[in-house]
Amino acid sequence: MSFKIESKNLNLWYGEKQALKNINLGVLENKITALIGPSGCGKSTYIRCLNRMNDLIDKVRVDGEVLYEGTNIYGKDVDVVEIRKRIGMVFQKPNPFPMSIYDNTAYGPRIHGANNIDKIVERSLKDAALWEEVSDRLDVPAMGLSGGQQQRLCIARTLAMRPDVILFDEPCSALDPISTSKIESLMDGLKEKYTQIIVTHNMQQAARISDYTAYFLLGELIEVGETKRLFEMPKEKSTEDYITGRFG
Amino acid sequence: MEISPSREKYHRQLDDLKVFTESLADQVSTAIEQSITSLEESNLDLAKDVIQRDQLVDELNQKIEKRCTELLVLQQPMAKDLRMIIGVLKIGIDLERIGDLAVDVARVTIQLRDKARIAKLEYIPRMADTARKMLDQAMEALKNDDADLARQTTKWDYEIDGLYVKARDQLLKIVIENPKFIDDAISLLMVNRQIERAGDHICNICEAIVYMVEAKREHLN
Repeated sequence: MSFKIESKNLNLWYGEKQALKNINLGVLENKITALIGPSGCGKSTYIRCLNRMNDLIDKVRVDGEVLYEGTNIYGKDVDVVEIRKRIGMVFQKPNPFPMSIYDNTAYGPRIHGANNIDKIVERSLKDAALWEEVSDRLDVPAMGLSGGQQQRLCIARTLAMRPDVILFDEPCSALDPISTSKIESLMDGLKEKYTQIIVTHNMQQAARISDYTAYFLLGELIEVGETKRLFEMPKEKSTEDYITGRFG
Repeated sequence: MEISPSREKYHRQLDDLKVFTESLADQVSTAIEQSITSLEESNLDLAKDVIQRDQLVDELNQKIEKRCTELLVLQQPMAKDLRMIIGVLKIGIDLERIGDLAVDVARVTIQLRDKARIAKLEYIPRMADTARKMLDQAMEALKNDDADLARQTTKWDYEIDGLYVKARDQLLKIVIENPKFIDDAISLLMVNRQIERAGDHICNICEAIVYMVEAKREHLN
């Protein structure tokens, strides 16, 4: 089985504190992989390793490999900007730029010198299931959109860069159930073209939308497997204790 | 990490499901025993008692169903908790059906009233005893999350099936020799069938226990 993205013996330290311990995890192409675990278990730290977002944090030390299509993204001569273009990220809180809907979506392609910006904007907003709601007001400020619309705009902004992999860090935690449902449907639709990894605290969400689930605890990957198997019959007692609300 | 008080309450409610199910099984086991005794002794009062008390069986099963629905809706259970709720719901359906079978037997007692029995009831009470032993053992398996014990329990069903064939052949022989006994024989054949069916329902219960414990869907009947 070949993985789209895979970590091998991945360790990460924030100063003296080790936040990830020897993580070996492969993510299959065109599948949704959910990362679950209690706060502080390392799941957000882990996905930030997958497009080198942790490089932006002081005193972070990473050891091990993250293979993207077989190439170690922590290797020498790797273009980090290109990596982040191929492996996009959507954050917990919608973070549109203080500019119009159009300019938000066009931002990435413009700075990369793309042509046909109108087409890219339209395609990205359509793929993010936002086009029908905003096509008649692309020039209005993005900050005026609802939280759910802002998050879909952020997804459109990511899609505009034509990534291969999209990392979602708790994308629905600030959204109401209807907006959450729209994001989940959107992710399901995006499976055809993209490999997706989602960090979520909502186990029902992980169960609903993901194909594979990985459970982290105290910086370690405890268990990974098909979502329907993991939520019905986890192999590890620790996983069962977590997903059934029993700890320790 | 600690468990929040609300989760403790949830886990207590899950534990209660087993207790309710064991209580339901006790009632059903008593119903089987008393329905057969009523038939053996032509005891109409006992037969009526079995029929009346079936309402309690239905009510307790409804209570279990309601609790399961609430837990599903409010707690979104996962893994072994979810399997337990699904298992308890299935077990409740089978226990309720066994209760109905006991009622059918009690009705035969009333139907035959004080007519002399066409044959001594030899095999059917033994089948009922075996069914009750199976039920006791199944509840032990439920209590202790013991899938192997549940599997072993289903072996008793072969004994019930063997006795069923013997009882059926005995009754058919009587009818062939004395066709005037056909009505009574049909009633007793039905009793024979109902107790055999009780064994099948207990096998279903054992399958549910295996699923609850090991998440395996096995055909044990």
